[in-house]
Amino acid sequence: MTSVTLVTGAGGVGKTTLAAALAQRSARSGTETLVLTVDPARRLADALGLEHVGNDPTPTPEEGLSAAMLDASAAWDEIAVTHAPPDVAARLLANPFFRAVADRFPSGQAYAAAEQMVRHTESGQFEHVVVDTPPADGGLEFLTSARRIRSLVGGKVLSWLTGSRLPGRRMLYKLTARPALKVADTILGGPLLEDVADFLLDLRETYDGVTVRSRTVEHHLRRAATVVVTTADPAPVAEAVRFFRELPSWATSPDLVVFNRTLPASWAEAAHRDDPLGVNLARWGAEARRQAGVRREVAGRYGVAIATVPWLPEPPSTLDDLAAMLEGAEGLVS
Amino acid sequence: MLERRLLVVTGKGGVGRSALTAALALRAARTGRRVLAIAMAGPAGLAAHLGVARLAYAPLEVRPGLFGAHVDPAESLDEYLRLRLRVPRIGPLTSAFRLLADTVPGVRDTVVIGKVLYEAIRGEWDLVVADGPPTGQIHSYLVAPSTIESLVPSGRVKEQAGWMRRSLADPAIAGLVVAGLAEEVPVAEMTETLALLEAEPVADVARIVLNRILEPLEADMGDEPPGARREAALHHAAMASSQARQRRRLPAHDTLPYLFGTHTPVEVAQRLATEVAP
Repeated sequence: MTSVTLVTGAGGVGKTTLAAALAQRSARSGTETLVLTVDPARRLADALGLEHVGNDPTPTPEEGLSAAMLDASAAWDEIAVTHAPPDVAARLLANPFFRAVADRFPSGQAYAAAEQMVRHTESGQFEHVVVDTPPADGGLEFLTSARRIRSLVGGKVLSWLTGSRLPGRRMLYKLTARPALKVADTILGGPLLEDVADFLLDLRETYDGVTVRSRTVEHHLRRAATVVVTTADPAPVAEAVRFFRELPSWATSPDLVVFNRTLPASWAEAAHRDDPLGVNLARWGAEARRQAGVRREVAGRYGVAIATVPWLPEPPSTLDDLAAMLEGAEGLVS
Repeated sequence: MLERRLLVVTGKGGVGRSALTAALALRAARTGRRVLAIAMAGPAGLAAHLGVARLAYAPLEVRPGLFGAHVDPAESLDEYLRLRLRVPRIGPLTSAFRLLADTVPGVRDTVVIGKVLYEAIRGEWDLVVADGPPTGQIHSYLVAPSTIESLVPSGRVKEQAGWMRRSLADPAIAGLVVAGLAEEVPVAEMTETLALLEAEPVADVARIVLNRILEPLEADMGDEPPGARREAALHHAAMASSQARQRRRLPAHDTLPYLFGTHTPVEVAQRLATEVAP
């Protein structure tokens, strides 16, 4: 069975790079691996041979490693086409409001990523799928996206519009919501809200399909291994802590917290003289001590395994750099 | 730049956007001005840097002359409907507008940026500093009023949107502070944002600020033996030269220093307030 690793964490901590490095390590151990990335840095994308966004995996120069760069828009088109009758799907794809929801609904990108994760897990093409989760909400958004999509498609707004999920709801809509929409449109000065309502009624056609599918997505999320990436800086640590605190009860607790940009512990203990190099060591040593303190606190409070990845002045820009980054790492289980 | 009525601080997550917002507000308040620091998205970061447990929709005085608040989109929408559009409080009608806010591109963004603009011009404050959305979203907030203006054929919403668009674009009223780090991805994102703003000048860039900048290391390590002293010096030098390389990709900008050691968020904001150029 295909195993899945979710790499979560705040934006800017090197999550995408680490996801790629973990996937590369898995490929080098002889496991057919896919890394599903979201918006990698240009040089990392180049190293992986990724030229454009696209949900179809492309082989990388690394033996046994494929990569795909999430295209949330295309993933949503796929959702419409799969779950709505053809005429409704065509109307949805042509509707500017559908684009807006797909691209801008907070869980839209997260759900698209989760949906792609399931697609590649079920294809049987890979033994291991590593998912670089979209940065929103430090990964919580990704875990809860399936539920949120269900509540968008079947939620309060639609119930208000249509009364219930009974057949003939368009009739109900004419009696309940339409009069209010007409008044609102007079204030707006155009038939805007009625158009929106029509769009939402079309979206509702996808409800049954999306509901079933999103439960499958949740099932896969439940059995995935989770790695939380952070640095020792207060903001990303706060997000990592929030991840532990607000993790949905059905989700498995993270297996590992990886502290990226770690300074050598030896600097913290080194004696220093009062010359420029000594002053420099003293302040970096203070940083190293602060980092170690943060790691101890997280490990103690959540009883989780900790790994460290050294602080590189430049992010890896070749596959060899990527592998070298993990050579200095400690605490990563294979 | 502190002479403007409104500064909106934007930057990729993790670059110190809330810290810079609080620092600018503190700096202005120290010169005797009445200042509002307002969070446009999650308020936790700004609250921590102002040293309060939480921020609410109603401004709270955090120290003499300095107030903090949080734009709650639902409350702003309510205020906007009642005060600006004069929509009566009727259940179904409010539901209809909530539906609009959830679905039509730009409504929520317009309401949030609108609230910040109203605060800036209503005469209560000398300066409003907004902890804005991340760089990836700032453009969609800034173009939201003109999107609405073009979607809506006529009426009060269109008039309001037009007023917002003009105020945002007026450098005498509003300015954007683009914050970042001298690293590959943040610099790429800043460059992209600046290019978008140049192509479509919906707001004036008041300042570009790079945070956590290292001073070059003035020391000779030629015959320094291997060990922590040498390693730390090499690390510092490599970081500083990497930062210098990234900085060359950006137009003229200000810098804030890397703060070594442990600091509380309030200490960070206070320290940056003394460093930031007014």
